[in-house]
Amino acid sequence: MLVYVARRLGSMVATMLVVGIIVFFIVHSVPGDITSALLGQEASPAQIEALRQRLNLDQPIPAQFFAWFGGVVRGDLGSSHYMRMPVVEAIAQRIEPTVMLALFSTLVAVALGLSLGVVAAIRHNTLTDYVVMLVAMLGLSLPTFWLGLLMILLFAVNLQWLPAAGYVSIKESPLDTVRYLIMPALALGFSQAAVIARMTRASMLDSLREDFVRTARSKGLPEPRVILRHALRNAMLPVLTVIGLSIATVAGGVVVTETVFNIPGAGRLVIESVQRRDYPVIQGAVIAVAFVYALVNLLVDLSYLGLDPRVRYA
Amino acid sequence: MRHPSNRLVIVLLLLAALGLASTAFAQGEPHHGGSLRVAITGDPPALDPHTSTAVIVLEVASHIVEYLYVRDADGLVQPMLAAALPEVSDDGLTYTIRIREGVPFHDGQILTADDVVASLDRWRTIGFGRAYISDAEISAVSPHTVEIVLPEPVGVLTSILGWSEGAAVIYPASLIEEVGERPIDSPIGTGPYRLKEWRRGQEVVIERFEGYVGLDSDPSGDAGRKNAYLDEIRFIAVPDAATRQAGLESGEFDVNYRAAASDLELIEASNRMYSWMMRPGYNYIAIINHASPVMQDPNVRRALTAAIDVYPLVLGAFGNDEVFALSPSIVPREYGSMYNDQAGVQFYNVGDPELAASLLAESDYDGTPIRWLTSRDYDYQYRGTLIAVDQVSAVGFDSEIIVRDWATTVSIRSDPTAWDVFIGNFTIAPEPEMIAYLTPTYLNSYPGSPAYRDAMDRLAQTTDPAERQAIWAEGQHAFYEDAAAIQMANTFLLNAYSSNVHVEARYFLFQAWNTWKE
Repeated sequence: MLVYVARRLGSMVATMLVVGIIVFFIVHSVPGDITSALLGQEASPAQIEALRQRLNLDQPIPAQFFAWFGGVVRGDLGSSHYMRMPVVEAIAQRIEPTVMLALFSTLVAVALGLSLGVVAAIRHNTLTDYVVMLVAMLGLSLPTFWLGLLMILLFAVNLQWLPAAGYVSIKESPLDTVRYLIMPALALGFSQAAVIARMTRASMLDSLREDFVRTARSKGLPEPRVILRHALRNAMLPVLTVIGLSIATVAGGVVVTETVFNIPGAGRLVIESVQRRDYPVIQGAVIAVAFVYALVNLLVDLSYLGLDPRVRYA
Repeated sequence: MRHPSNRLVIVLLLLAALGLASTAFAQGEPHHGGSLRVAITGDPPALDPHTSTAVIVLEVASHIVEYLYVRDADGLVQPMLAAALPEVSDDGLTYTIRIREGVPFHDGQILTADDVVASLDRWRTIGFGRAYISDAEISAVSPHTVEIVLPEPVGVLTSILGWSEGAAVIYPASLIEEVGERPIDSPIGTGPYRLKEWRRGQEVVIERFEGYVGLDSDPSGDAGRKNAYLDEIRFIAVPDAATRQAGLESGEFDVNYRAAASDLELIEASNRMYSWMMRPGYNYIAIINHASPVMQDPNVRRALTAAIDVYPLVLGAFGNDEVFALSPSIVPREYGSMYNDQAGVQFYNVGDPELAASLLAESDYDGTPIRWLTSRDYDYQYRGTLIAVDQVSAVGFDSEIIVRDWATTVSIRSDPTAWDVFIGNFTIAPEPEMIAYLTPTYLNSYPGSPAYRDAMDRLAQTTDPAERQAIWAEGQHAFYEDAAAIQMANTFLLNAYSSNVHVEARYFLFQAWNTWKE
């Protein structure tokens, strides 16, 4: 298994390099550069040209590529033109809110999705099932930003129960971190909960029809034990795959959610960097996202080992 | 029947509203203390006005740094770090500026002429001053006197030294020596607040500078006394306008810097907040690319101008007629002496399709589509462009709308072959020479008609205010006659404040001195 993990880690590095090369040429093929964001609209052509020279933006694209790629190979992702700090430091400063939001959203999605899916399966073709599936359909259909804005209006503006925007670091006040993350995590986790609920329901329905469930019931096992220990555990493999995918989707969804709830995370950093054409940050952030995506996939694959003893990696 | 809990909710909401209303109307005396949370549109690109003309840079930095001159509420230049207006030699080539004594920087150094010389030298090397005094000799003739010797007269020098965007702010010479031409990210100034922390992408926190030595005169515009009542001001980056407004309503923020015009009615109807419109704001105009072949024909430009009905266009763009004022004057009323609402007024806001069609018929226009460049990142640009295209189509123009994100739009705009017309907000200034689109080096490549060039050449050499007014009247008339751009309106900047925030005096830009919280 160690060989398998080592091979996967090796392919992750290769993937990130390829992603980096592709993203470099994509961002450099888009018109515009950072000078307008830095200098303002009234800057003179001479000021713009001087800044382009200072940032080496006047160099040919291949020269810029080799300068950047050489740094990447040495582990240096370059420096942000806008923030004037190393890209790694810029991302590191903004990673905590994103990780916390992704964690909370995933928690919401898994807790809601699994429980609703199980309930819908064991109440198959009843009003409960229909209501749960309707909620799941709503979750899939409602755009995250719209749901977020509605929640802000209700819980922050009208009821004033929760803060409308922002983030407090867990190092400063864990309680405030939770308070600030409740709405964004719900807004972001809801749609993924719907996906997980639908998959859990379908997988559970299959599982509940299996002989081993009938056997368990005929042995006189209590129903909760039959559902949770026997049916759900066997239904979890496809659900786990969906959870893995939804973590990746959540990682993409934080971009919008962070903007709506003004969370100073890595997602918003990427959006702002794209708008400003802060090339080093865009490139560095995409490589980081590719790393997270690949890592989550690896962890999901490894988790199959714990759930299904038949699975072997070599 | 209404549920009892509904009644309870209504009673509670009414009580809450009454409570809020009572605080809103409480009139307290100015007092020290508190933290002001200002939701701004994004992380400023710098805190160093020498390196950026972006308004947000100055609006945050002006609490920390100061410059020699500023403008009062009447648009007149007044001293700030200077002790008086400059003494100008008869030939207009030598400016002698005395500096106030005993003014401390945040690091404890005392302001001297050397600091001013180093700062002006940096400003004219890398900043806005390059276009005006790049060849001047700047020297300290005494510990508190600076002399600027020009190779030829610059009619607007005093004005430029007191201009806010890309401002000639004064830093300690030692800081400039240390940083050179790189942006100063930890500015040290003489202002009423000093930098406490800048968390990039998140917030800029400034705190009261207890050693501040300011002026005693009454506040007026940017001039006069600056009382730092607030202990701390947090400029929090909140790019989304709806989130800024929601945060103001929920009490997360005290100020929504740049509220959306569509929220104005909501703000005015609420007793928990109030609006403040910063005038004159910007000039909303359609700039014409004079490097484009189709725009070389004056009759094409005149036909375009005559086809535009300004009011419905600007109303459609901004959605509320309280946030703009139609104005034929290129220099706004608020900026004083160069305001002129008569010169060329017959060419302003014509909105006459028949006249436009006849001008078009007289032109060499061959049906080439007019390329309107715009961006949906700024709704007022996009909506205004759609309405303009509709209006000019009615008189026979064919149009092509190029819609891009803002960074791409800026890039395309700098290519003189890629566009014909661009509608947007442009910075206005007190003097015509300081308005970018009136200069030939700007992206609209306006070379100027002979009459316009003559007026601008004479203006550049003239310092006498009355003479300048007369010359600019000719220049503005020639600008209109040549249909150099389509002047439309002044569009104001809308800020929204929580009702417990009080502001002693109003300014052209956002400033939080002379401001206190209940």
